Amino acid sequence: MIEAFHRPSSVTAAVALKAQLGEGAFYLGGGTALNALGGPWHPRHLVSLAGLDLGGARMDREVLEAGATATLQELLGIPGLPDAMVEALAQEAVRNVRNQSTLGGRLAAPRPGSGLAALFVALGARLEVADAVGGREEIPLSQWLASSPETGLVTAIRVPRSTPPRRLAFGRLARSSIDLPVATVAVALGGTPPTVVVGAVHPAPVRMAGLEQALGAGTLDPEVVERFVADEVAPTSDLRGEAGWKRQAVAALVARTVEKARAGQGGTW
Amino acid sequence: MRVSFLLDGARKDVDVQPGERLRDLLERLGTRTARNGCDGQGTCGACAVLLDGKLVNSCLLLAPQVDGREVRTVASYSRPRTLSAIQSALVDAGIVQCGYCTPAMVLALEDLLARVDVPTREDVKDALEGIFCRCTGYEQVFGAVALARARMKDPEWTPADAVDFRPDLLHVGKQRRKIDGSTLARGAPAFVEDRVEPGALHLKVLGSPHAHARITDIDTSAAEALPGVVYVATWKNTPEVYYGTAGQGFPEPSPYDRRMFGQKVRHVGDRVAAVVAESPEIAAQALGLVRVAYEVLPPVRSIADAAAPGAPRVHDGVVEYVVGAPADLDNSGADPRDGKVIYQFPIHGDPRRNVAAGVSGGIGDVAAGFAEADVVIERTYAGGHIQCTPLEPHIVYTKMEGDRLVIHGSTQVPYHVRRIIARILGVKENRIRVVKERTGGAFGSKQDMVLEEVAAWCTWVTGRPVLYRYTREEEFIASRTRHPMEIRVKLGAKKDGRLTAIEMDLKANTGPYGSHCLTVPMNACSKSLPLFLCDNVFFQVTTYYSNISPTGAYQGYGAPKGSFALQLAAAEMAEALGMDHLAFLEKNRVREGVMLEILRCLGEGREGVPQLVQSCGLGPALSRGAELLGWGRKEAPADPDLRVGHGVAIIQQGSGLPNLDSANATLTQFGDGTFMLHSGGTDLGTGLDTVVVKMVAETLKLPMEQVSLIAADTDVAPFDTGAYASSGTFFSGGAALNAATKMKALLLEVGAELLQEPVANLELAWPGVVRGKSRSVTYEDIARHTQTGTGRGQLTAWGHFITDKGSFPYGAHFCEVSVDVRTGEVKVLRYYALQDAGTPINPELALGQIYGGVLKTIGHSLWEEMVFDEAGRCRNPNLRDYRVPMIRDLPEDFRCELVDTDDPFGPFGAKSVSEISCNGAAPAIAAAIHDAAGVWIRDWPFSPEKVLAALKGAQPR
Repeated sequence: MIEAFHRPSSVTAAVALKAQLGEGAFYLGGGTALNALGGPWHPRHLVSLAGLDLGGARMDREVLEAGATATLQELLGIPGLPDAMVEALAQEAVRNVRNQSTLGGRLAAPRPGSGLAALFVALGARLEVADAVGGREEIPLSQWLASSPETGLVTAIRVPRSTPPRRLAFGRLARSSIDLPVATVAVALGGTPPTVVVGAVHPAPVRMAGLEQALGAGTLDPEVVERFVADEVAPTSDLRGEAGWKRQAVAALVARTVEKARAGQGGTW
Repeated sequence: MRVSFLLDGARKDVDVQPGERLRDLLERLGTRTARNGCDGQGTCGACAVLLDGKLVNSCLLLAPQVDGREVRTVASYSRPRTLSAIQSALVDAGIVQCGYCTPAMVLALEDLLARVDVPTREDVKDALEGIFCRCTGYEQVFGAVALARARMKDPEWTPADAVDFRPDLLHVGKQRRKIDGSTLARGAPAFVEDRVEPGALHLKVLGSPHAHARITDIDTSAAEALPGVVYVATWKNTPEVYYGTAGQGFPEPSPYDRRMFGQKVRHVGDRVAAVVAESPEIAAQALGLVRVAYEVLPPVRSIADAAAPGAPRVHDGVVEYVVGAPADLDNSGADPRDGKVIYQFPIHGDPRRNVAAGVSGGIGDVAAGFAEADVVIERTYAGGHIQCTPLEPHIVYTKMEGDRLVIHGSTQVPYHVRRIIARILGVKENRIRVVKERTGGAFGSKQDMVLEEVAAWCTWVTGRPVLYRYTREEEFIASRTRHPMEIRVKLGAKKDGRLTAIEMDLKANTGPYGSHCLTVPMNACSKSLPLFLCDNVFFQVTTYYSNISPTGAYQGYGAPKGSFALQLAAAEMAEALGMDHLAFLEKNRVREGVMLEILRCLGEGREGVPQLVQSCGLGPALSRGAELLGWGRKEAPADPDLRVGHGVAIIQQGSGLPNLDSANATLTQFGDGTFMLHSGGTDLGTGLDTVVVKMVAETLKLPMEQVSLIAADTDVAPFDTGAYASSGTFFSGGAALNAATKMKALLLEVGAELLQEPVANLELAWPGVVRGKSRSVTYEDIARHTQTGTGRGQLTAWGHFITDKGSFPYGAHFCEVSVDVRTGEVKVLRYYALQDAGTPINPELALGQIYGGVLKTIGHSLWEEMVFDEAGRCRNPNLRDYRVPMIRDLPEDFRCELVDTDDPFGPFGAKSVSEISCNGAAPAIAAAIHDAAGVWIRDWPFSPEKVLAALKGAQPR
């Protein structure tokens, strides 16, 4: 039961208000998760971010930068995004949800199936987080997702670009278009050691450390990639599939996405 | 809190609760076109609105979020009696069937065409990817977008290349605007929920948490004491009348095995108690105050469970027969708490063994046939549990008018609902009126009386109007689903491919109650066996009770499962013979002039009638499909992990039930020569209302606008058995045609009098005149003449349609699939459905029926399945986890075509079109999977797990 809808006018006021309201208080961005029936959150107080001027998104040679309340669809509208990012954004949600869902909400609230989170983790995205006294710090998205902090408000997302650019690919496996994904995969090759992140299989996106190390040492056949992944993922049986099948399917998806990145089919970053 | 926003251009300043959803607020403000299909999960998109010009789901927005913003619904684009370019294009392209999702589609396309000048197929998919439509199969929307663009420049624009199946006729066989299309596309009030008046009570039902249990105690006192609660119903205060919920002709071949509330619950979600209260919130709160003690019984979850020796009995009460009780009927051990099972006549049920019904029969000598065969194969096929998922869940609104009960229903069977409820209430049928409103999808699930009688009873008792609407979860667990089946097929054939014997042994799971328990499984045989010419055929059907969610009718009835088994067995036989699958089908298939003797023993509980095949489009369908697909010519995919294969299946259905179905219509002339048609036919969005109007306008040579219609209102329109068994066009259309033909005779008779010429000299002519050798009189002249003080009286004609003849639609479905050998994923790349519907009365709507039926069945074949836990609870009672098909699931190349045939029995040569469309996808896809990857998957859905397991040599489930 939602008791109150709060409309703070500054970031510091919002953070202070949420802290003051305590358990049962949630920041409200677009609301596509928080407002959906059957969610696990049961909010009593909503702290709206609508009046905080946290919108807008831009990309230059060094960074993709977006305010926390920029919608997924706004991001998709940025010209020149690499294909992998377009795919991840477009497959994150359907258009009528993308029009409302904010980037901050997608990344900051735990959402295991998010392919966008997997991709942004792979690209070393950082979150700008505000505290109640006007301070701002940047922390890696991966760190945020691993620790699921209860405090702090994500105000912006920055995805740094690499020099020289890395080859990207994004992969997603779902039983049908309406279904949540069985797995999402983001791969970045070249420049720095390879990065391979698997989403949707575990509670948060997970880097395939063993595979990354092996890929860094040289090109691997897809069958070898599959064996590494099969060792590194621990899927569970659920409505999307039985664990044994998932392990094989995720491994195949990763191998395929690595090949796609190698072929430069997902663009560069 | 106060919220101010613009709604369709008007300023709204309203007090809202901080957690109030925008969708609910819009409804409170009287805007009902943001429909509810998923209870706020945000998965169906039916509630979409434009927020500052962008498409969003209003169920995912809180009212305070729209403060200071602009909200547009379909009302922004709707003008009285006229349509916008997008609205008219959607209707004319055939993409408006039930119309429940149409307002959302209109808004999505407004958004699209405001952003993109020339949308690609991908743009259209992107625009509509979040809107669920169960009726249409989406494909025709691409044409609608092109049409809308043209009409934005020229509102009158009509495609020059419109298909015309009957150049000799005025309306039949041609695209004409669906008569309810304008209402639906503008979002005008049309559905049950649009009829609800202020002050109506809200009904909610306490569902059983157990799959199988006895209610040992129930205490409703706390619920009754809650302020705002008006009435609480349980087994203690509701009629002890046994009935079946199947909307079938009386006497039904389904047992009367339930009462409104019983002392035993037989599935999770089965009725325990009902509360009617002043608000839904109070009703929900009161449900929580009902105290129930259960004796939990072991659940029967499957056919194997039900058939096991010593299995728990789902119905352990008294068994009775109205006629034909077997001599050995023994009720000595019956438990009265289990209630009764009353058979109208014997259908070989034995509830003591959990058998609800059975039947067997055949022709020739199968033993001799198998002995004669060079090759014999025997396989078992299975299919899971699937859901109709109409976008509008089951809903009813009941109220008293004087001392009569009025039921506003979303039903396929208004006349059966009237009959059954009259019996339950203990009143005569003349005390009850059922008004079928626009139906937001039905697909068979609304052929059962799923909730109407509870609301009717509560209104009868309280005297108050009552609204009862299923939640999406209730729709999954307590509406109607397709019977799970296991079908063993044995085939014998000579080396040259000729079939010598066919045996089908079918076991079905009817769940807790015996709705359609004989006829759905039997239909799996009667709509599959006659496709093959074989002298020796035997079938056996056994239907078991269990504690899964209730089953019933679903588009295709039993045919999709029977077709899957027999058609895939045919594919397997072709492989065993080393013969091309298509050649095998061609050798054995039914053709014109054949007498179908097998139908004598497939008569739905009575003796059937052998039928002569008068028309059969299988020949052209097979050759056209093979040409479209390039049968046997497959290009190797670029991806080395993909295997590509081709599949085909031949299919059939019926056109209503000879000697069982019956339809009526009356036609009355108004004073200016126009007409009012009263038809008992029940349009579910299929276009039946347009069919019956066309029958009249065609016969009387009138513009369709001069024929108005009231249909499926039991007070006004005459009896019709209802919308099922593919009977609509054939029976209800036939009745309208017969009424029009009688009216034609009357017009000629009066015309002869006025023109002083013999009837033989006269003819009806466009636009509504009786033309003689020398001069003409208009229908208006005739009306004025007959309706004066010296006239013969207002011209009224009644038409009735029954038949002992069968007309069979046929079809061939072809597909190309890819199988990913590393993940087991199956994708349908191309799908071609070639169907013979005789003369398609509404060609674009007929195609819409086919696209919709095919996509549903692609869904059933690949993704959809209700999953139950050990205790019998459905684990995925929502659209996402059940995986309904969305526009992005379409095959890249998806084409449905009608092949031309002419049938002597149906109106203007028409046959049925909708249900047959569900019979081809599963066997065609399974055959294609084998062609691609060499594995037979005999259990649908063809999940990647099953495919990968089969590829790895493991035994598929």
